[in-house]
Amino acid sequence: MSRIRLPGLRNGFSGRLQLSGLLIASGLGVELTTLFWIHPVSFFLFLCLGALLVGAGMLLYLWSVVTRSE
Amino acid sequence: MTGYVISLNVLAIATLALIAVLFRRPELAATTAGKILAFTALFALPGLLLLGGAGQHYEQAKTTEFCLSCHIIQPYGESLRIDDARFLPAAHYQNKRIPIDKACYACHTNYTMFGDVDDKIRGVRHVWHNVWGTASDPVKLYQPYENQACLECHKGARSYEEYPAHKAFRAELLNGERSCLMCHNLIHEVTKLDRFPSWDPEARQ
Repeated sequence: MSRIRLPGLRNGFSGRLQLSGLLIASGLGVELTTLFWIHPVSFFLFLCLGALLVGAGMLLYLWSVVTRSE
Repeated sequence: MTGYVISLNVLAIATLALIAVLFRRPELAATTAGKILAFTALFALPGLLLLGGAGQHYEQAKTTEFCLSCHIIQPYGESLRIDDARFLPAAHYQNKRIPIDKACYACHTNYTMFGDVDDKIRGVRHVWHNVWGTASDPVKLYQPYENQACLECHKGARSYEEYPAHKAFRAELLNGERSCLMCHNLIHEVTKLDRFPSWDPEARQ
């Protein structure tokens, strides 16, 4: 995971938490936007982008906790 | 905007604030309180918001506004305003025999245990056809219209049960051998919309 570290993110566990937060925040942004637009495309955006980003962030957090070496 | 959506927004903003705190100071997660904070901000609340958002989208997908937002379905929405009581959808819509904010859903859902889920799967197919331009024009149902959708409301109602034709074909109507649409055959008629006057709900005031 450290190989795909984004600029501005820290190393190791802290960086993974930051990345997880970024993914979830982006996903929630998409989710909030789609809630104000009643249209099938909005539903698809929520499902294919928002839910995917939030889900990826949550999984990254869990993975980080499980693989944390202390 | 409903109270439910407002609650989701407030919860999302609170989650984003917690995420911002963790993003700026990820070392907080080393303490017990920080671990609880991280779990709440990065797992519990996002999970809750995901479920809440899915529920809201699920409800929004039942609305007339949602269905009529696709260009190909808009003539069907216009047919609800035909000023002629012989037209089944128009009569139901204009007389509020169905909830007008869920007009399409009320008559086109599958009233079975997993009917709502079936509808969403069919909805995905609708969007697919609409996006790729493979939908038939005029739109055709995937399968013949089922009497169950009518009987969900009309079965047991005096006006339905005591009507001589309904009495005569009661068994066939119940088991689907005879379709309600065999007699009530003026439906959306989208290809002939220009031939009929349109009802304007604003004009009555």
